[in-house]
Amino acid sequence: MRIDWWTIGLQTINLVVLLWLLGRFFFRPMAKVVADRQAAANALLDDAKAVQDKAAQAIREAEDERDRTIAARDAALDAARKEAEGQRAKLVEAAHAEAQRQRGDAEAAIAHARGQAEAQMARHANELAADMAARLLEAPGAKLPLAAFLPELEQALSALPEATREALATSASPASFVSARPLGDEEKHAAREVIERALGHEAALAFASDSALIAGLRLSGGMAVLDVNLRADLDRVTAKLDSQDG
Amino acid sequence: MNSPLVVEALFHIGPVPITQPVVATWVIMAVMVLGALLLKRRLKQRPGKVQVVAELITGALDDQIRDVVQSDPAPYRVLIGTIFLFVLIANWSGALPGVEPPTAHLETDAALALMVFAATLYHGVRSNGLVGYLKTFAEPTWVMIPLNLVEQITRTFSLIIRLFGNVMSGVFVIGIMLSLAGLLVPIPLMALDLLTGAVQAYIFAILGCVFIGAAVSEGRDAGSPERSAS
Repeated sequence: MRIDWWTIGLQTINLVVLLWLLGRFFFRPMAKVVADRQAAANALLDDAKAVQDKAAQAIREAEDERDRTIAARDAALDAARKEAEGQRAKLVEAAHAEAQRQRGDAEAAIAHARGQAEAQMARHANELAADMAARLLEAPGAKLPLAAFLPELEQALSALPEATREALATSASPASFVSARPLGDEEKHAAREVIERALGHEAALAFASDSALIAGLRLSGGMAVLDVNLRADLDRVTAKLDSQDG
Repeated sequence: MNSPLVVEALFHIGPVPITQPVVATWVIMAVMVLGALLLKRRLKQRPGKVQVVAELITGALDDQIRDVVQSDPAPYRVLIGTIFLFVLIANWSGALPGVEPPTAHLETDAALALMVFAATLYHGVRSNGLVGYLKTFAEPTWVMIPLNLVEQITRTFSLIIRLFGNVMSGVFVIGIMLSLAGLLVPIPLMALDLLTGAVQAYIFAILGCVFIGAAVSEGRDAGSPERSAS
């Protein structure tokens, strides 16, 4: 057996060189690439964790925003509900007031209509009473003499203004003397005498008859109309009653 | 057949004889470095098949070193990994026709064992300090100093002889079978030799790791209160 020391030395050198070469070109690059991959994986995990945290934060913010929106919606609904209730109360109050006003107007209109109707009924009643009185007075009125009405005529003519009296029954403007029944000459003369005495001048008269007067006469001319007859009395009474009935 | 205990010089460079194991080692070194360079150029974050295999090997080496040394495998990765890969490829190179494995010669195994021995001393001193490392030889008592010193030598020799004996015997057996039975008969034995070569590479690397780990951990354990109490 022989040990070759040269070979041991060369092999030792060879192995040291191989150690250095493999360390430089194999083991360290391998360790580096594994470490880099591990670092990249860690970075990816960190990024994923960051993204996850960010997503969780976004979810929390979205939930908060949703809660705020819900709260704002509830508040808006409450405010709208309160405003609607206020508006409804105002509308009800206004409608109530309008109904009261319309009711008052209707009641007033009804009262007015009732008053109108009552007044109309009263007028009709007055007219009916006047007609009835006229019918009742037709027969006895026809029997009344004209002389019964002449004093009242004279008094009425005397009450006229002087100018009216002077312009009444002139030849230029004869007056109309209407009696309830046709007059005889004597009655015409008596009437003319009373009129001329009251006017103070000769009277130009045109005699006519109208049974509607019931009894009495009507003297008219120029601006003056003098009713001294039962029809006029009835009309005055009717007008008075109408004015009293409202 | 030449004696495995004698290496003949193929040529000389000056006074230095260049023997067959040296030339075979150069070829193996060239192949390994070339492969490392090719792999290094193709290293990517998304590994290919070759890179996956390489990462698997380095990962397995790291796991083994971590299990044995009980610490970060980075300081020991290059040494243990280089020894394992070289011994494995050197043992398997015997399967090539006309190639005799460098590890079938005592000089190559001695060089490997010397590296382990030097690394044991280096890491022992580096971890414990010179005095602390020397104190480990007096554990558990000073009486054990001679035995511990002899142990350092004998276990290194055991490394040499174990690897040399296994690989050389495989080469011899195959050579004898070739000379007796022809071409195809030694194939099962060659397959067995591949298995033996892988096992021996693993054993050599792990034993080297154990020796280094022991040198590193003995000082640490000796300084710890629990170890002192026990």
